[in-house]
Amino acid sequence: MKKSISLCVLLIAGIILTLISCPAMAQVKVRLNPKAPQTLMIWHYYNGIQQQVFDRLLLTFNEELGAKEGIIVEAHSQGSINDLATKLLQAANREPGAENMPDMFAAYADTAFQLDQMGFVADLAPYMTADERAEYVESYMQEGELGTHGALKVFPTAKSTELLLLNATDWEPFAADTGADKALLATWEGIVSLSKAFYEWSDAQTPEVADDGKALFGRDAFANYMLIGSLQLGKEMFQVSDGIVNLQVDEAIMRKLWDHYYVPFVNGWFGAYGRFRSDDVKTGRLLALVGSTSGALYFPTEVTRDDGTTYPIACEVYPLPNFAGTEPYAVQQGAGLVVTSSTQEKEYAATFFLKWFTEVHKNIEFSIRSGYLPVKYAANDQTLLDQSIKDYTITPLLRRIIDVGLSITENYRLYTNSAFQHGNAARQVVETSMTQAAMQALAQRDMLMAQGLSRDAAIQSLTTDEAFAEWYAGFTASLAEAVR
Amino acid sequence: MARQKKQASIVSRVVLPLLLTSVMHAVLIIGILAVNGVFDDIKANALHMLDERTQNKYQTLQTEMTLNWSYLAGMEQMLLNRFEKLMAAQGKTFADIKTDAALNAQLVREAANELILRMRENDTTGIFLILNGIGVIGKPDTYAGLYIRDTDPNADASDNSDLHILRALPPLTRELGLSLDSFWQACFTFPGSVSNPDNAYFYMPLYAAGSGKSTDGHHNGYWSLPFRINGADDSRVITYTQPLRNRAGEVYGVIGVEINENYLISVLNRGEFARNTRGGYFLGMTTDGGLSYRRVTTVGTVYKQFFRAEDTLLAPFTVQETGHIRIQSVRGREVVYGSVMELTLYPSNTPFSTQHWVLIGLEDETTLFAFANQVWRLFLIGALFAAILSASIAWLIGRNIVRPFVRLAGSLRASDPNHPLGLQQTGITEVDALADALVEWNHSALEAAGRLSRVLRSAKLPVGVFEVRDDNDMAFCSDGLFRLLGRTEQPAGDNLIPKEQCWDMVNAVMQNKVEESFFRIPGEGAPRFVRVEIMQEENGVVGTVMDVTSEVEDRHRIERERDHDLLTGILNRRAFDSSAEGLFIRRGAALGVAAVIMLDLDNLKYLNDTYGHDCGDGYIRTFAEALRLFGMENALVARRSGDEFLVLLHGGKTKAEMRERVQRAWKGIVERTYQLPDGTLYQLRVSGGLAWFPDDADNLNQLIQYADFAMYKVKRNAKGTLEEFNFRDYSEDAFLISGRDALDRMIDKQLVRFALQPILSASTGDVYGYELLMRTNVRELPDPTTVLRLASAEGKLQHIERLTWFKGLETIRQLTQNQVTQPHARFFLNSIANHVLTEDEEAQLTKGYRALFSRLVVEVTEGERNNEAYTRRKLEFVRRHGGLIAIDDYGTGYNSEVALIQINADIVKLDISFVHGVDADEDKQVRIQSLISYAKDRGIAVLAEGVETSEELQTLIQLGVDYLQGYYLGAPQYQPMEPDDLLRQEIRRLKSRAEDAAQ
Repeated sequence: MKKSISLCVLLIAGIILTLISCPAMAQVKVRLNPKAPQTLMIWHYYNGIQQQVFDRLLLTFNEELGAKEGIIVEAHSQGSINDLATKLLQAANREPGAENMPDMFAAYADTAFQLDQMGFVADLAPYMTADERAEYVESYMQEGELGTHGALKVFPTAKSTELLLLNATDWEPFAADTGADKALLATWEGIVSLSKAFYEWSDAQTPEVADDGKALFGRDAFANYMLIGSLQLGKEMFQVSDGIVNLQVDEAIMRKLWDHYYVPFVNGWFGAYGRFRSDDVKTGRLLALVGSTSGALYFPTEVTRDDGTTYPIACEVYPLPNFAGTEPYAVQQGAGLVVTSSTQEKEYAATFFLKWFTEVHKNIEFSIRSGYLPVKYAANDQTLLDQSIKDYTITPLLRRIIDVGLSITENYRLYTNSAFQHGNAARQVVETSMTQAAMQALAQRDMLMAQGLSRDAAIQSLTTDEAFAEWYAGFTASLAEAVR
Repeated sequence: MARQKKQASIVSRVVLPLLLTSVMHAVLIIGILAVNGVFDDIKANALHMLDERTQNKYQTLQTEMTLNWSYLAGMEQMLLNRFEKLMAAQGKTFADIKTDAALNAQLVREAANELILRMRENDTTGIFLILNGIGVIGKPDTYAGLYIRDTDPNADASDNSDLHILRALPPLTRELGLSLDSFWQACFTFPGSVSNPDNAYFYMPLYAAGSGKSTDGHHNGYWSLPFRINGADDSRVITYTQPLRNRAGEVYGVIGVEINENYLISVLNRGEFARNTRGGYFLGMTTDGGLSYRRVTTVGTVYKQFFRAEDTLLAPFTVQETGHIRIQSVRGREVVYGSVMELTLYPSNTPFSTQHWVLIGLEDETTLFAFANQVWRLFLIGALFAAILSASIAWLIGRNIVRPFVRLAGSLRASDPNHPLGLQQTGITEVDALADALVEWNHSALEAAGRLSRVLRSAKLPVGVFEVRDDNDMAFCSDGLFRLLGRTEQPAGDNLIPKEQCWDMVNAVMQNKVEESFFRIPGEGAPRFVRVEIMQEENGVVGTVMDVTSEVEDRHRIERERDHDLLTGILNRRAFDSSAEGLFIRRGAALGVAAVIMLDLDNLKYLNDTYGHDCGDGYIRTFAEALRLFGMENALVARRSGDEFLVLLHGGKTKAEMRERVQRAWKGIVERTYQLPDGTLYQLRVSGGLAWFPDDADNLNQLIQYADFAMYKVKRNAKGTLEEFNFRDYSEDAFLISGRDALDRMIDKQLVRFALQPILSASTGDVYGYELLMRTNVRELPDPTTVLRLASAEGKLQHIERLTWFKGLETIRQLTQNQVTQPHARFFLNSIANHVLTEDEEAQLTKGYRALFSRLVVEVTEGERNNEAYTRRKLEFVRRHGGLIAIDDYGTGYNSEVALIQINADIVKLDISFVHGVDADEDKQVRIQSLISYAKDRGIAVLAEGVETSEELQTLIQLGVDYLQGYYLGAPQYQPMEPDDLLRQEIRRLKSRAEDAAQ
């Protein structure tokens, strides 16, 4: 009897030792009980096709592999990515009325970094082998490290970059009259000159009405213009090391960025009318915009005039413009999925799902049908893509978007700034500072003209060196304030 | 031999019935539970909990759908008013809506902000207005309207950045500043018209309103099933639409809200914290009274797991007696239970009231009845466990009870009858009792055979035994014996040693006899003693050896404590008397010439008072130590009482030799010092008296008395010396003996009177009061000092105190009655230190002389605080009855200031030693001055007594004393006289001069 007791003790001690020593191993193995499945709640911001694909994949998973392994995944859309971030922070801060933190959520690196600082983010590295990691595009994995080398805090699911879209239908008469060259769309300098020409041409269409020229171009996600532009011109604005940012705001570079957005904007060559530039293209106020590959999907197929009548348009897709004579750079963006730190079982189950979800074919279906780029090297293979594209009914526009998008990933240097403390706030400053200055200048211009000043004179007074210096001072100050 | 009984093992007698009982228990309990339907009850309870859960969710949904989301009351009227006003301004009518796109654009614009507001209020994910008229000029299939979406109704962005426009003309979208939904279009189109179910949200209420009996928009409202407004890529929504009518009752459009399916799910999920349960909800609609349900939406994993995402009907299912539905899974075996609650969305007799919406709470059977099944399983496991337990008990009994019996029998069989029986303990009380009985029996058997029991080995008593038998060369020695006899070597194992060796060991000890049977163990260290008893037996000797060390030590200690003074360790009086008396009875050379010396420590009281009793005790010990100088031989040294010591030196040949011995010792003693707590060395001061045997007296008592007398004389005179008894002195001082009788007589007959000495005010020279001074008529007691000394010696101070109070107050009574003294004059009475009257006496006094107390000043001496309790009582007694307190002889004692504070006196009487020659002694003046300023601050009056010269008087008045007393101012007299007028004038003059000087 005593022998059997000591055997039992030994056995239990052995089990405990094994359990304790597990995390030291390269990979954590957890056994789940299919009869008591782990239920995982995901919050995301997908809508439209992306949500449909996601929901369908989820259903498949729950019915097949999930049921076998004991994992059930439920997903809820929480509106836009910003709504989602707000809700996450509310949940994390346990604000009154806030819901419980979900087990997984979609987030950009900034939000993930913020939540990681609060201790809500699980490191999935222990649940992955080195081989598994190596299958993913390295820069995507690096972005998910959140400053801790070797960690995996944001699991990449789909990525996007930016490109230029053009309403080719309305471009035609302009090109026919002026001989405008589409090759100029490759540089910011070219776009400014095209926009000027377009304004003048459209103004001339109605000689009886003065100053009614139209803008050619507009853009959203303005921070990308600033960050990529600055980097391309020689300075990384957010230079981050160990989660600490070093601000590099070069006056000459800023002036160049100013000259290629603010100045054409005040001149009416660039424009912004509705909430988004895509809205302006839909209503015929703009002809071209820079947007993300994922948003490009929603580029309209027709223009709706103010009275509701419509006419069809053709869309053309071009790579993101660069400053003349610089190395091409483009932004790498897209939210990944973050797992909330929890029990080993849940974290394991979440990783298990994410691995399944990013398997080559599923990842291609989920990403490219919504204008995203897959996250595994294998999935970015052109022939595999071609094959997949055939399998899904894909519009020629989407096909074109993916092609251009892939060409950008091949020919451009993709950039995303590393996450850092107050990154959100800093980004917000970069996003709005120059556009707001431009909007205000525009209002001022119209006021000056109403007071009798000529259009040229009004514009002249708003685009002086002093105007730039004033903006520049304000910009650097708010930026410094934001990261303090 | 035991009586033959039917043989059976313990196992069969105990274990089998036990096993049977436990199995029957289990069967019984499970049977009762099953028959009573306990498990059914638990299951019913589980279903009830499912009902409650569903009920809660139903309440939430019912409230949200009917009172929040679809609450459009007032909208219809408000829009009508605005539209009418707008059309009136342009000369248009509702009929124009059909064809006038520009008008419609204006109407929509008019409604836009109200719609956004209502959407926010109703927490819906969308709101729309559709006019039953053209939206785009030239396109008759377009309908004008506005559709706005809010993906998250829980969060409201102040700048409306969370809103998307689904339908509106571009100018309105820019005006509202809202972003365009990816499905945005300028107008509504309804391809497929009425036949397309996705258009139901528009057409159903539009046409229902036409057919309905009621014109109330709410009565014609319509809840749609989930659908997609913008085709396959759009998310699923349900809508609630109400018709809009003009005053003629004609429908001109609809207004409605949208609830996104995701949002609906989140509402259903709200509060579902235990997300790991496999429960869920099914929201559906039936038009056939519950035969089938169309799915609206589902929440939770159950539905998805069991029925896929079937959009169609939830079937097949059976309805239970309890009203719950029981559904077989599409996969086969699994079963789900549902609790059905019907929502009330439509008022009765309205167009859509046949559409019944239900919420069904779902739970799969395994989870639902997990508890019931667990209970059932637990009972089964319990029964099984009981059976296993019984079997184990049987096994254990076999092992732990039967086996010890077997072992016991075996070891009994194997034991040697000539050796002490040793049986192992089994841990079973009964078996051990049996074994013990056997061992006991065996031991007595061995004892009877003349052998000593080995039981001594386990005994912890300090006893050792040995036995030497004539018929054996070996002697038995118990274990403890060797150690008891001071031997360290212990024979290994066997207790048998050669006879000779045993005797050697015993005899070695028995040589050191202390007293009868008591022997001291030779050896180093603390002495040990044993008692050895040897008994002759029939054919040998048995000896017991017992350690009696503590007994002997105790006896020594008790003797010591009886005979010695605890503090000093020298003999006490009793021991001294018995030893000395022995010497005096025996006489002879042992006594020889002897000296009795009485010694008294001189300053013990001072040390006690000043440094505390610990210091005093140390002083006494030091002295006792010093007394060793008288030698240890032929000397008895004892402490007689507190500070009195007695020494008897005897065995001397001549007086001269003895005297030299005494003087040598004396010299040594008085050179000794004692270190006080403050570090100073204090020389021993002692007074001594000596009486000789046989010259002075031939008995001890007489000698002690004479030595005492000699010592007392020293004490009275020089102190600090040793004097021999002198018969002449003794006869002279014999008054002390006769004085005792005189004192008794004085107290008995109250032979005292009081003389009065006046006390004058230092500012007016008038009589302030009189001090009563006790005088006696007895010849043998010439002065008060003698009386006090005698009374103190005889312990009669209490009587003097009583005399002072009663006789004193009586005197005062007579004096005041006869108006001999000044009216209001006070009377100063000297109370005896450390003595108080009894409560009875106090009562008598207050009864007889209450009126006099207010004129009484009781003088106490500083020494009185030795007994604070007495002093406090005395002071309280005086104060309670209106008397004052004065401190007498102030400045003679120690810590006078402390006394002043503690006693809290009204008057301080400066001691005569301060007053005498104060005019010539600046030091005295300074001290008096500081006392006066101290006293004045506390309202204490200062009285100077013993004033004998005019100069003293002058100085004292200058210093500022309040009262004066002394021969210069008036001698004590039995009949007090008026003070001299000249004296009064002198005082007044001195006083005014002193005041002038002060100014």
